[in-house]
Amino acid sequence: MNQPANILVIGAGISGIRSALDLAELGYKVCLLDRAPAMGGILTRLDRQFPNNHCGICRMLPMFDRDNSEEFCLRKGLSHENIEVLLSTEVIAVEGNPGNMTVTAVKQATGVDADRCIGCQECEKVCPVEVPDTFNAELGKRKAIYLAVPYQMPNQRVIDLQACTRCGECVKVCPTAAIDLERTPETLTFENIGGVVLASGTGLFNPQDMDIYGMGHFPNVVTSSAFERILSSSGPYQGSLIRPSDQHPPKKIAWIQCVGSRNPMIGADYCSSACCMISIKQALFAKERLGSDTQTTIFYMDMRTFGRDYQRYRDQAEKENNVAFVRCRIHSIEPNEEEGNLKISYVDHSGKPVNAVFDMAVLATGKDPLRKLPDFAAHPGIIATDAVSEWMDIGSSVVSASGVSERLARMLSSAGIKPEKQATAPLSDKVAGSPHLQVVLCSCNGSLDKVIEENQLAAELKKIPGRIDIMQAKSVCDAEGLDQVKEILLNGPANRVLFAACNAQVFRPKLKQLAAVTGIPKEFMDVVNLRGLTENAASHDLLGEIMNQLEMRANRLFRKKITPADVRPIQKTALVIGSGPAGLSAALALAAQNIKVVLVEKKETIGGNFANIHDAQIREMIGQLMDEAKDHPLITMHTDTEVINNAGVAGQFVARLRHANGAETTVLHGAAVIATGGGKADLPADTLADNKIISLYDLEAELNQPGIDAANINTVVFMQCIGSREEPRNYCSRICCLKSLKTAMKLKELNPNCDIYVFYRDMMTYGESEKFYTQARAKGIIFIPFEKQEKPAIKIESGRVLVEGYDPVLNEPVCIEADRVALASGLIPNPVDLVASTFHVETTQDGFIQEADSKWRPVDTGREGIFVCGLARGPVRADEAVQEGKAAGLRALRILARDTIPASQHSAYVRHAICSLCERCIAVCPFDARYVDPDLGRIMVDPVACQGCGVCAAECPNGATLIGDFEEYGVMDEIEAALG
Amino acid sequence: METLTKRKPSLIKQQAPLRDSTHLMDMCMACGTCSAGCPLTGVDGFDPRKIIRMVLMGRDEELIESKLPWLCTMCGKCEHACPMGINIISTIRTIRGMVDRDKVPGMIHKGIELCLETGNNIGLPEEDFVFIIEDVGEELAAMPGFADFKVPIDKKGANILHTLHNKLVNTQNEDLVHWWKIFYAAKEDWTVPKQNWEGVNWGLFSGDDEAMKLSVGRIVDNMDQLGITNLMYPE
Amino acid sequence: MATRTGLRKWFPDFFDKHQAFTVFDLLVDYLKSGRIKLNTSMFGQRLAYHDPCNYGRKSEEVFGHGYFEEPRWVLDQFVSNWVDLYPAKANGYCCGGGGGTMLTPYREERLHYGLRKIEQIKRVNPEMIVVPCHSCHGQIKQLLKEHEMDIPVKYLWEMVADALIMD
Repeated sequence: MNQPANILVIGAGISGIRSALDLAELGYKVCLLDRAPAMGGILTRLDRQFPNNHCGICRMLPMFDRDNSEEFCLRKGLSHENIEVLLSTEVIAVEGNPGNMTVTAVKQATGVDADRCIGCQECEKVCPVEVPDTFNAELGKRKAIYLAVPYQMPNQRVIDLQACTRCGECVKVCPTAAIDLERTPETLTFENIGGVVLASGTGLFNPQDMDIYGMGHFPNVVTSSAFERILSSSGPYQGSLIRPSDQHPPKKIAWIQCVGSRNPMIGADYCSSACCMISIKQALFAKERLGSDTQTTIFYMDMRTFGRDYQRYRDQAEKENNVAFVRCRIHSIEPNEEEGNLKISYVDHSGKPVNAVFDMAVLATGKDPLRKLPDFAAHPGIIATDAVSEWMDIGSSVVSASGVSERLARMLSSAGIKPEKQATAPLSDKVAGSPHLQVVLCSCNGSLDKVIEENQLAAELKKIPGRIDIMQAKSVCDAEGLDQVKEILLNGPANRVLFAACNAQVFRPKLKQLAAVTGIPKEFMDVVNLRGLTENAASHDLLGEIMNQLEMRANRLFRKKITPADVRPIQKTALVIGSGPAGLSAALALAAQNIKVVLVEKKETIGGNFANIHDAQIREMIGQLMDEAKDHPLITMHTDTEVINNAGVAGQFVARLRHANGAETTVLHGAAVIATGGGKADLPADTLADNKIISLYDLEAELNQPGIDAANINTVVFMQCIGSREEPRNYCSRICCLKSLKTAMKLKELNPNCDIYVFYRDMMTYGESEKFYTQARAKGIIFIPFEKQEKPAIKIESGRVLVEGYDPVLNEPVCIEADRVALASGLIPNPVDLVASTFHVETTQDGFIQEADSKWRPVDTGREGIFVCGLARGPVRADEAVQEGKAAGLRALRILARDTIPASQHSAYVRHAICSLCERCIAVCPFDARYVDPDLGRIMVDPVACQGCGVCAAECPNGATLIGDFEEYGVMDEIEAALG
Repeated sequence: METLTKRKPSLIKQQAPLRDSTHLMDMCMACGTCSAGCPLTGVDGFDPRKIIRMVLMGRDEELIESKLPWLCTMCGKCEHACPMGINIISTIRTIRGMVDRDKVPGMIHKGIELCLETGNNIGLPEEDFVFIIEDVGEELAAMPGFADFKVPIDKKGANILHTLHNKLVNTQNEDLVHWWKIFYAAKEDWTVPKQNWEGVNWGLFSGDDEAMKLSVGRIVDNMDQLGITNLMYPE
Repeated sequence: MATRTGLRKWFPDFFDKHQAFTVFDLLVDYLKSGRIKLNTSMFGQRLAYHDPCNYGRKSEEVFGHGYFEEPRWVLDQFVSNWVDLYPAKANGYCCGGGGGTMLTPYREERLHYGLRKIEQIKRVNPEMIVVPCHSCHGQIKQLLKEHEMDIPVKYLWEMVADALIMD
């Protein structure tokens, strides 16, 4: 990084990475800090995530201008031109005002100099100290000098200075003198910081001190994060699902929900939101690994499957995979006769006590109630992500983090801080000349001399056809060695460099430095891991192997050429479709960054469901957005208008709007945000057989009438999930539980003597909204659970409305005569057929717009330049819709804030002469990057949308499609060399 | 099935002391923790969460008339894991206290009545009590190492007041001597009152605060009258 | 429990002039101050300690301190081979004789409750059971008899008394 950072992001977990990437992509210089010695936060321990059961964190990587970052797994590390990552570093003080803050941090000594460590692991081999492996939930051992995350890149070691005995064995063997045991912590001061993102997470509850679960007493009681490690191939058992006590595969596994959550007695009056889905996922994995006859039982109070696709995930687990769900919070885990087995007592649906025996129990732990925010958290200029106060699933964290990025970007622009234009180093003139390769052979301070005869190697290298210079260096990882290389590159004839040194991941950052100084692009440089190849020196023909590698890379470098970057000018206008809270906040996010916004609303008024919202706080929030948008000079509103056509590619779209009077307008825009919203689902007419039976929405409206007299409303029954969470509308509408609670409490306020009953399937008061559930009970509201197959019945008998159900708590049928029955009918999306076909985006079976990835790219669609947020994507609360709007706005801003977008080195292109226009490539492109240009009669590639994945090249029957930088002959040469 | 129209307010709920003012009984989420942990769940219809739900539904009479509150050992294991901090034990004791005294099952209330009348739960007259403990004391004195042992009765200004569990005086005399031996070895200055020596207080079990207070008051009186500073808790 | 609760509730002045001690306070004091000495070879058999609810869990709840460590410390002074039941301390099982149930006619229910205690005892298989509570003593003795288990039950202070070394 050339310029110092102007933004600090504290915490390099999911939220921190997202926020850092957002801001880096806008062009800000970001410093990403974490107090841990590795980045990735909780995700380093989580291999696969629901509901796709795989990982997709790489989907957070920049989708264009990709050459600015290394494209590898974000769990391993992050490399971006605009991001500096500082690990083992903790912020201790923040001073100053937004726009000009001073931040003090302490960088802990890790005992290993990251500039020198080449990840050779010699130190780890000789370290005599073994301690419990905290990364693997202490189920195994590690050395005192170790890799904080086993698969991290670069794979540089750190020392656990608490465990280290200072015996000095590692110092002796380190070839690069990277270890210094006497190093002390260093204080870092960051000045002129514009703003700070606090994304330090919430920490994970440790159930060790709860005597009821026997954690620490029974080896086979593990936390859910330990279970993730057991499932992982980088875990304590190399991915075998076995239990700790005897290393046998378990046959019966229990999951215990809400360990440390939903427990005000330990200060945890909240739901940790993600644990229910995590447990279902883990149960499915257990079945997958150990066979379908493995018994998996989840003990729960409410299965909080409130995400759009989560109910079907649960149903599938229950029906197709036979995961057992038992609604009972268990008291304790006890030992059973057989060694290692566990006894769990519970009461079943009829109140009968059951003693069940399991081989293993998994405690679903969530947020740590003891974790406090740092003192400086409230300092002006610091914006915290939601994930520092709530545990949440990845999708929500990502949305929240982007929302925070948006607020920070807005804060910076109002403080007059603009991202600095990337100063690209000018290319050296000789780059255009014919290839001339400089090979640098590093002896690693002489340590490689013992295994390889460098002169012999040099002689071999000379045999490779092409112009090659060879330089032998003592060590290229220190400044002196690197300076020598710079000297040769600046003054010599070579325009390509190949290092025979060590780990490429460690070495690559040095190539960037070298490129900046020499004017030779880093794509013209490569590294062969000489040290890695010498590891098994005795077992094979070492010289041959090394030569293979060198020749392969050399051939590739010879073939490299400068591809003139396709630079596309950006149409700096955004199109936002829908003017509810999501659309308005997206529009305002963009307008705040000086982007013109065309806001299209189908109805005659803006505000979406504003008219139907009664919650004062939410009304105020949306009202404010409406006022701001109406007054904003950069926002043009078209009510009574629909988008009927949209063509083009990200950065350059043309849309046609049709107004109510039939007139049409053409809009040139660079990105579009779909926020078409949704609304209340209607109840079938036959359910409303009496005027005492009304929808929840109507009761809410009734109670919010001014001067309402509720004295005669004495008994009210709320019924949840009417139409929701079963086919055909098998998703949780997400807002009804909270709405019922708020309405019921309003009723209690108006008439404290009113008896209120809520029949529910699972109370979906996730996160902090759990507090409303607790408060509602405290007010005397009675909650009665029911199962989908035994819904309470509503009967009308001589003018009386009776609700008949079964109360599993009393183990008795109940019959309640009600003055009102409020039915929670849920949410449905507004029709999206037109917008989906206009913008070529996919829809879900329930008629929502399908996002690119529900976890990692939650507000992107499959088409670059088209974004989605709010109810159009899935059920959300109004505050969540606002958050999504900000996130979608920010994603669009990545494109719109630029004047041009450079294409990537690795984009597909078409050799039109041999293209048969079969269009098979268009069908297979996962990024919608290909289209037929009807005027030219050619297949076109949008090099911005193209991610260089190569599916088109594989599909093309004529070899007409090629991937830049992977031309056939270059790759063939490489393969040839590899084959020796 | 009865049709619910208006719930009766529960007197039990009103009277049962809370564990903590922020943890109202209404906050019970019927999660099942107490039921899962209680060894009595399912026995004669006993189920702690059901009892709480019945209270919240205002079904006081049913509970007062049932034997359920008397089956509970008030051990508090249910409360130990209750995430909501519900006052299950005080609810049980409150229900017990609302039962007509003549309907309190077994010995509990009869013992209390005897105690109020005679100063001990078994109605043992003073002379008999003194005879028993002096007799056991003499037996101890005859054992090697306990020469000259004597039970100090109503000793003014003693350091410690010692009370006795009625069953030791009644059927299990052999267990009287353990503490006496320890006191003897420790050279403790202790005494037993000849009146109101009862060490257990069944008002705790029957939900009878008046009786409970009276018995505790007698211990305090004994200490004041005998000029004793320290009390050894009976149980 | 009852006396302590009653004193706090109705005679708060009591503690201005007086002090009150539990059996554990006295035993620990006598042992620490050397006022009594115990024969450490008296009890070599495998003992299991049972936590009474009143001194343990309920004391912790009501008075903020449960007597969990004190009895174990006392045992450590003269018993080499004692074990805990699982679960113990604050999550331990009641013997089944608490709350006055020894005085009610619901014998079957009380014995049913005690099954958990019996299971716990069987898992540990001790040669003697130690309790510091009169109700627990009575109930556990009865439980063992019902299950035809020939294991003696002793009061903690009984063991101390038996192990006294007299000068």
